[in-house]
Amino acid sequence: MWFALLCFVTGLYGGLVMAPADYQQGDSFRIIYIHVPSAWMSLFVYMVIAVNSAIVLIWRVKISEVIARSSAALGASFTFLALATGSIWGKPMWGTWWVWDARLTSELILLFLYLGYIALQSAFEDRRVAARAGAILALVGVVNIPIIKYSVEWWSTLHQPATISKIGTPSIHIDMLIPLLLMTIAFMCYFFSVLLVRCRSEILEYESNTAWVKDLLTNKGSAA
Amino acid sequence: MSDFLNMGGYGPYVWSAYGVWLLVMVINYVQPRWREKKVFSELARRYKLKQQS
Repeated sequence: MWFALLCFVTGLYGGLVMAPADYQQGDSFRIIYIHVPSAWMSLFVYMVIAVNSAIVLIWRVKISEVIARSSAALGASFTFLALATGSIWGKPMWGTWWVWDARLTSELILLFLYLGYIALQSAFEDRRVAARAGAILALVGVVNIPIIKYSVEWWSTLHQPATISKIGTPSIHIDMLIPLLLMTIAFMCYFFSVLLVRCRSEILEYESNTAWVKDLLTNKGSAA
Repeated sequence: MSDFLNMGGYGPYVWSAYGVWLLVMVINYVQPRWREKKVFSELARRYKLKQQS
C-alpha cells in the first residue's frame, strides 16, 4: 500500500505539474492519468474474476471463489471511475457528457455486469452456490471484454483509439507517458492490497466454523 | 499556483474528475478495513456465546 501511495504521489505530480499541456486539448488531458488506468483496471479486474471463475467451475477451488467475490466491488468502482472521469473529460472536449458510442456503451455494459455479479453473489444464502452462479455470469460476460478493447477499431467512434498502442514507439510524449505508467503501477498495487484485505475478512467468514478461525479469535479475545 | 488550479480554463473539469476519483479510492480503502473489524468482532462474539452455553 505504501508503494502504491508513493507511485500515486509521484505519478500525480508528474501528471499534473511536470507534464506539458496537450497542444490540442490544453490541460484537460490531465484527466487521462486517472481515466486510462481506471479503464485498464476495469478490464484487468474483470479478467481476474473470469480466470478465477473458470477455476471455480472446473476445480472448485475455494480461494478462487474468495478472490472472484472480493474483486467484484473494486472492479465496479474502477469501471465507474472510468465512466465518470471520461464523462467529465467529454463535456469540454466533445461538448457532451455522454454519447452512445461503442466504447462508452460497452464499458457501461461492463458496469452492469459487475453490478449483476455483485447482486447475484448476495442473492444466495450458500456461498458456494453463489460462487458458482456468479462464475457462470462472469464467464458469459467475458465476451464483452474484447468488444470493449477493440470497439475503437471495429466501429468508427467518437472515442479516440488507444494512446499506448504501438509498443516501443508510443504516440505520446515521454513526459506524459511516465506519469501514466506510474499511475498504472499505483492502481495495480492499490488493487492488490485492497483485494488482500477484502479476501482476509471474506475467508474469515467463509471458514468461521473451522478450528483455526476459532483459535485465532479466542486467542485474540483473551489477549485483548 | 492559481494557474495550476485553473488548468488552462479546464479547472472545474479536471478537479471534479480528480475529486470523484479520490473519493472512490478512499472509500475503497476504508470500507474493507471497517468490514474486517466488524467480521472479527462479530465472530469473536459468536464464539464467546457458544462457549458460555
